[in-house]
Amino acid sequence: MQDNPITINTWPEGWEEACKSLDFLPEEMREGFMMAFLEFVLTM
Amino acid sequence: MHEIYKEKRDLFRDTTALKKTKRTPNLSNFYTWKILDSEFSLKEAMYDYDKMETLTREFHNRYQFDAYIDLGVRNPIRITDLLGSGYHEIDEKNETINYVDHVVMEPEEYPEMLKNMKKFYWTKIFPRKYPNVTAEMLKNSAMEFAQFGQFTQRMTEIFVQEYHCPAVFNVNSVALIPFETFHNSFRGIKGISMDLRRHGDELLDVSDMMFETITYPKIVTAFDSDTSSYVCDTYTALLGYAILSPKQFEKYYWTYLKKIIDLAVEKNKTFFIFCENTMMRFADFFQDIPAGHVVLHLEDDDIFEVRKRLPNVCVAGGMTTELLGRGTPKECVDYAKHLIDELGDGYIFTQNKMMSFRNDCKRGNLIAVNDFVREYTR
Amino acid sequence: MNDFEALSAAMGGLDEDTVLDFLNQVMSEGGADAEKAMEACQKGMDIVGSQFESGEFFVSDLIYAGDLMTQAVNILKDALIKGGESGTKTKMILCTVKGDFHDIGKNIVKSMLEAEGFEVVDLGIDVAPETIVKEAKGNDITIIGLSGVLTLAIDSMKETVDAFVTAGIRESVKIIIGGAPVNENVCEIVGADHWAKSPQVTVSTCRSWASLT
Repeated sequence: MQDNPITINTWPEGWEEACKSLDFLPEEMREGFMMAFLEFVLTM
Repeated sequence: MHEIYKEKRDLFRDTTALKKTKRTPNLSNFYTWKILDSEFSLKEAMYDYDKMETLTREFHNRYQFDAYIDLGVRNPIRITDLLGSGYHEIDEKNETINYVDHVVMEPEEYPEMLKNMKKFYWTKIFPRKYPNVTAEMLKNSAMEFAQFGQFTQRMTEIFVQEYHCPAVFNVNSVALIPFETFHNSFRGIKGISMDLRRHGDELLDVSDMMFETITYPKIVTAFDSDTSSYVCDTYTALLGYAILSPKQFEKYYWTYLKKIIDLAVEKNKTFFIFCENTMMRFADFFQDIPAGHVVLHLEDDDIFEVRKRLPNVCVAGGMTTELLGRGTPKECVDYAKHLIDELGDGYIFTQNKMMSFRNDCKRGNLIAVNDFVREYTR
Repeated sequence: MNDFEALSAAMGGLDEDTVLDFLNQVMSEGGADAEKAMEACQKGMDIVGSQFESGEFFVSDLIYAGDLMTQAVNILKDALIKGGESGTKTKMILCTVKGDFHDIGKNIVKSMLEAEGFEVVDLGIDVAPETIVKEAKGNDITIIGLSGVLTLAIDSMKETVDAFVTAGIRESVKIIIGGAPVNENVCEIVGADHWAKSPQVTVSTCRSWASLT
């Protein structure tokens, strides 16, 4: 998993890696959760 | 469903439906003030969910509202702190939590957002708002977000199971009108004011897309589920609308709000709308809504004038910080009686402001008012 | 020949392109009409104010108008006669009080006061009472505008008025308060001379105070 703050925001690679990293969730939930998380922190 | 819970739930629902009720429901609009009223500092409460739980329980034990808009879940800064740059500043000396306004979107970027919103958020908005994020920080913050979800759930369950207070709304049924995203979070108040005249069509296109793909489907799903245990079936807060003229409101805001209202009427659901600042200049838009589906929670409007102008909506609010913070218990109780007597059926008693500062309220005044409202029958 | 009525109308209607084209034309012709153009813009701001009073325009339009006026001043400034020759401008203080960080309302009012001919000393946001008193005393400023959106601004406004009393100069200044929590009751609590919810009222009040000095 990339730690470089520049590459994390690439699309689609950075997004896919970020979703994959949510290993505390079942795989089918990860992308939906990431989107909900993103919307939350972007509007906080 | 516990008897006391059902009684309170029915009280709110019947009031929303403009029915005659035995007493007036009492709704808490207290936020940061709860922390200032407790033994904890702002930082202690904001960073420790156990302390926030303790003080929220004590708040209920002391004041005994029927329901609470906030259960200590506003401004979860633990999540954004883990992303390396929060925008909330806790000032213990002045007892405030300030939010620093910032712009993270350029006016020329509406078409890009329209093309692929997810990609736009990920590649542009997110790194601008949180420029120092590593993969590890992202994961930790996402886990914290999950933990916050559990805390929210726990607080709801405590108040439902132990205190028999209905939750005001289901978090999955909150409607966010697209304009609010741009005003509150992406473009700032000055930026969006410019965009209304310089990029109006693009703003409209993106707003349509956001509403059709995110907001409306969410409400359709919510209305298809059982939300009958809540005070209301859907909730929204009108904040950024405060800068709009009636013409602008009609074009950039009302279309979406109306669609949700129409669906609520069609499905026999209720819609709780917090109106920050004043909404009276938009009264015409609300006048033809069938009675019994909409609650307008008013901040700076004259609630008596709104009642006269819009007898078809349930109104909430009325109790002012001026009296709660600077009046005597007798003055507060007298005014609470005046509100209940004058506004009659279809009135939810609550504070006009989101109660946040020390001088917004005195403990003795709130105890006196709540004791009165709990017992008073018209 | 320049049609300044058309410029006023364009400014009043917030027609940015027309206003900027006109002003750039004035400057490309040497700037001899800069003063007339500025007056026309100020008349246009009066129209904006009237549109606001009638409900046609609202806050976002005032913000836009403020920005347009700032652009106008920036285009014309090199050709405008500085102070002195066209009369000394009345100085006044404007700020958001201690503990409050909101400035949109203040900035709108500032634009309109400047369009009215005031020299506005903008002290910014979260301004302590002592700072305001010091500025007023040090520069012989007798008109003070205090802005705030949060309910805690009421306390800060009162502290500011009290600071003028303590400094022994309360009687020689005029203080107006504005913002969301402000009303007649609050004005009494705070001890201000006037209160305003609309920029037009603030401008006309300050104008009447300036005419007394």
